[in-house]
Amino acid sequence: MQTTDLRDDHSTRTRDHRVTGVRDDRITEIVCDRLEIEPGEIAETDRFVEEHGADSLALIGVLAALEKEFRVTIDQNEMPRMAHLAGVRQVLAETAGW
Amino acid sequence: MSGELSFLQERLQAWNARQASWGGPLYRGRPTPRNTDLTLMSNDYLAIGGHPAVLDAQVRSLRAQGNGALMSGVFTGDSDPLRRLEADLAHWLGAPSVMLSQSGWSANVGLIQAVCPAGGSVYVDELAHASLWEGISAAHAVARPFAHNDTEHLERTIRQHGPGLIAFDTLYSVTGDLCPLPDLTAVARRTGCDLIADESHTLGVLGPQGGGLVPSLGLTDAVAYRTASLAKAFAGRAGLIACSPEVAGYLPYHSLGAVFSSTLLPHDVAGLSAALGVLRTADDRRERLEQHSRHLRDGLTALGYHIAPSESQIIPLQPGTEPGVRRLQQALDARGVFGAAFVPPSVPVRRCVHRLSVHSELAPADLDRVLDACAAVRDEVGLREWRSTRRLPTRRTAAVHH
Repeated sequence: MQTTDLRDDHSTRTRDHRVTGVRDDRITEIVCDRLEIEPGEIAETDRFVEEHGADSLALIGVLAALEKEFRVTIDQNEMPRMAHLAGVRQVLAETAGW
Repeated sequence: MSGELSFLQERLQAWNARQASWGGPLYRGRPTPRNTDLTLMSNDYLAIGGHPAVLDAQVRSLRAQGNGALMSGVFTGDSDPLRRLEADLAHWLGAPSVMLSQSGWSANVGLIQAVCPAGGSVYVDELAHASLWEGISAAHAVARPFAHNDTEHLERTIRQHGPGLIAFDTLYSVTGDLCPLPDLTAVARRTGCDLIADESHTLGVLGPQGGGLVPSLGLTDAVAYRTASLAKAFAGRAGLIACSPEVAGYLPYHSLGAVFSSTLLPHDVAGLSAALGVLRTADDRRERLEQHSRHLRDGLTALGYHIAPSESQIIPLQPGTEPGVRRLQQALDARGVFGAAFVPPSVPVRRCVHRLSVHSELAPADLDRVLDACAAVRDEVGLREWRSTRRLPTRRTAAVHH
């Protein structure tokens, strides 16, 4: 019984990691598509505006696309925290309750 | 050096470095189109800028009245031809009232500044004209942008912040796509917002007698404010605001541009009145414009250019970068096809375009020449490397590899 529980737990963790990985890739894809940046050109904490010359308004498109993809509503007051990929992931996770 | 001077020096240096990065001139210093060249930069979509009726009216007015009284519109009397033109425009638009202003810019800035409270919310499409944004700033209102033409995002944003004004263009001047007007009016109705529709690029072009997108969809009662530059299909120099009689009576004394800037000159008014007469009966030109635009859009798409989301006479070729736009412009200029470069602040960074504006009086040979030129330059401008090209569905990229 104990062995089965551990196996189930491992399986769940593996699935969660896969889901998280797919989700992270999709977030990166959406951000890069909207900001016209190649995914390989951007690091987690690169600032979109200052380091990649992104137009601050383009971030509205990012926000709307993320809302549509993940079926959430993000408070626009969170925009300053969404200045880089890591910030986007954090705000999304908090909003969606992941 | 003072802070202000240092700021300017830095800005000037940055501007010089930016121009140098283009590899040549985009604006000043560019060759002037010859008479045999095709100029696709103008917003005179129905080509009435040289119409005899318009020119004759302007010349007659100049000879009779010179440059007029040169005064603020505050002092314009009820019998002034400008008032008659406002009434004629209102009738044509199916609007309760119209106020004329000096430009489309002053119409949008003056309207929002006068009707929106400080701190009020203005929901504005991310690609809306800069004058709408400037109006929000002048009113000390809060700009709450929504993703381009995304009415679901708009409604979610309104639900967060409460009712306000919704500002947008009916046809976007760089991307060439129309707004989703029925959906926008439905959102406004559900959320208790008022709409400001900038019809600059649809007035004269769409709708019954050219009255614009709003009347063409039977939505005149659903849009509180319509604005427009009359420097497009009207081929003149003014702006208008269509609104309720109460607001039209209030604006000349509260819109700062109307109060503190001189009103239209008599020959501007005479030319616009004559242009209105021409536009009302210009269905043949509107039809040709639509046909020419579709022909060019289809032809460019077949050549492998990604011109989405254009659905109009405004067709953006999309190299993306400033040097890319410069290279394309130079290549097309050399073949006698002159478009217009759009770089920041007119467009977002990395979304630079070379815009072709179609007009109704192009001949079939002109359209062929544009397409031939665009076909000939594909390798020279690196079309297949453009990010916009890489976004094309796979089967269409085959055209790029001709």
